[in-house]
Amino acid sequence: MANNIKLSHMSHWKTVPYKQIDNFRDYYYEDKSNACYYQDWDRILRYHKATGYDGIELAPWDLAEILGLFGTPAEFTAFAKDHGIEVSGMFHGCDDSHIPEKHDEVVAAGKAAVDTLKAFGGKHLNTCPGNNFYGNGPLDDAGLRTIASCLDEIGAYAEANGIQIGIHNEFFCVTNKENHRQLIELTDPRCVHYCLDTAQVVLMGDDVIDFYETYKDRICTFHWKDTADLGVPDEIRYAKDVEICDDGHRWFWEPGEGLLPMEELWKHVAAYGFKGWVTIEDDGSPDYLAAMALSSYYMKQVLGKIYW
Amino acid sequence: MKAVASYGIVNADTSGPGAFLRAAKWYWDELTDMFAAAGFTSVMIPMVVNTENVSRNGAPICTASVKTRFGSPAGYLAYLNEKGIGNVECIGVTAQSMYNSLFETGLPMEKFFDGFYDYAMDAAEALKELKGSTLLASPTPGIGFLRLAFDGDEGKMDKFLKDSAECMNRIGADVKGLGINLAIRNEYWTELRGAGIDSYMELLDPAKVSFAPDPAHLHIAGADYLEVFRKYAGAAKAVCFTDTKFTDPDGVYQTISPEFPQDGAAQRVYWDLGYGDMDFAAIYKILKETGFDGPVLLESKYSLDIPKGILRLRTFWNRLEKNYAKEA
Repeated sequence: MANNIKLSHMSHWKTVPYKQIDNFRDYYYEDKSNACYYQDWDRILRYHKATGYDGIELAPWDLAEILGLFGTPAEFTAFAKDHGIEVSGMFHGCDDSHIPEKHDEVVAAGKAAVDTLKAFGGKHLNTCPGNNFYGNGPLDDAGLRTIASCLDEIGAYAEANGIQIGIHNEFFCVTNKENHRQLIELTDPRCVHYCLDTAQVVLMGDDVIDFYETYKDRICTFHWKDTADLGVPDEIRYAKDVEICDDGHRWFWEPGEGLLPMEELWKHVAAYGFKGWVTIEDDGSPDYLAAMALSSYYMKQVLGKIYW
Repeated sequence: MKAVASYGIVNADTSGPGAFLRAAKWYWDELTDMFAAAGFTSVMIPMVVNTENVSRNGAPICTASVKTRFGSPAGYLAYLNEKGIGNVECIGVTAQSMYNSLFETGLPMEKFFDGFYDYAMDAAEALKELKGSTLLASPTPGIGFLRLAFDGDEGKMDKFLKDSAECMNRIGADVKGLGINLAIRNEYWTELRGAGIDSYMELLDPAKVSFAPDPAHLHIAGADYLEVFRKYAGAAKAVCFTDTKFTDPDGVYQTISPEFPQDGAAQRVYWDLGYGDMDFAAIYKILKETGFDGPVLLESKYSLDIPKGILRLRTFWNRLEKNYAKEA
């Protein structure tokens, strides 16, 4: 297998309460269940390595707990490295970026996120460009430009610090089907890249192959996941609290379990010769360990035969 | 006495992998059915501060989420009634939740108790609509967190504790107007740990604020929990039942991970009711002898197997009542 692709996994385990469970056998006997298998970073990082991942992408909402357990980003990174895992990146949300009065605050938060990721040794700051559509959209051109100016400033700072920010749009985001491509055009290609979330773009109603071909020069990394919803109606995407469905409907599936043309898209990736991190994101799965294994199998045994 | 099952059995983040599931409404729909199927007609809900991140979820653990999904607390009560749950007897509010929300809300520490007051009153107003009786409040964040916030300045921490008492008196007075009681909880990792509750209660107006003792938290902090129950049961408006085998020899209460000890021989704090070391038969007897007739909060905190944990709550309570009747 060639070595153009490094596989990472977005951490959706939520709060992991322990760094390491030392008394694993005793803990098991307390409940005689599998709970102790999912409570510490030591084992979760082992699962990353065992299922074929090279990296982990951090979630910012976990940082307080991670730093509580490890003290510093460097300690976490060293611990992960001991398990054969690198920090590939971190997610970031540019809330309020469409509000001109919030510009400085949003840029400061973005720069702080860059600093944090740098301290973890990561490369990709995958950045949701704004709030949810509900309560904030639709945006006019001025609103889009306001977001773009925030991204440009954060992006310039990131480049200077060896970090790449990648726009990570979401299907319920304030920049949406009608204008998400326009936002990309408004940003500086020298310092604002794109993290292609394969499912989010399709959920918005865009064509993922066409999108890739159009923006392949801007795409610095991927959130690779599947979906069975090809184009969600406006009234759903623009409604309140869309991401976690009340009835349990899943927007996202492990690669190969949905309807996306994964192999076709991968052939385009291969033809372009993309090199770098591809991150599996399996939010919504009821069993992350199984999801990690299923996803890794698909990436390496199905897509890996096309390109790796 | 009225057995009230606590939704605190779920830790949305740590009760097994798959936290997204526990954030969805359908999960709580099924959970509500399970509590009713286990014979509980009254529940307690620990509620967190309304923040965007939590409010967007379907878990009924903040008033914003309840209002989004059910229109109002009264709408939520109608939903619960339909499922066989008669009321929400108690809502819990904690200074730790308030502290955790500061990062997202940007509220400074100087405004901490203004925010806590608003959070508590919002919960109390919901509780009134939910036909409940008691607002349970934990008045300070963890000691480890406060030391961080105040750079270990004991003077500032003392002042914070006194300010918290003032805030509790204010909340206590105002929830009375809603027909709600205010009762204090004392987690072992907060400033009110163990026997510290005695001096704290002296700062409070007994006409407005009572104490809801909890054996596990008292025991971990080294207090004689039976003695504390004897002292406070008579005036209590509610009591809390949590079980443990943990004793905290390493002083984990001072850390910022007090409920999940990172070192030591025992790394698990809470146990399903009936599986730890607390002598609930003795506590039950004390409550009977003092004529306590309020809600007993059954909290198998952070159970590792939620459906089994709910059934264990019922088994625990049935056995307790049966064994007391046998002895009597």
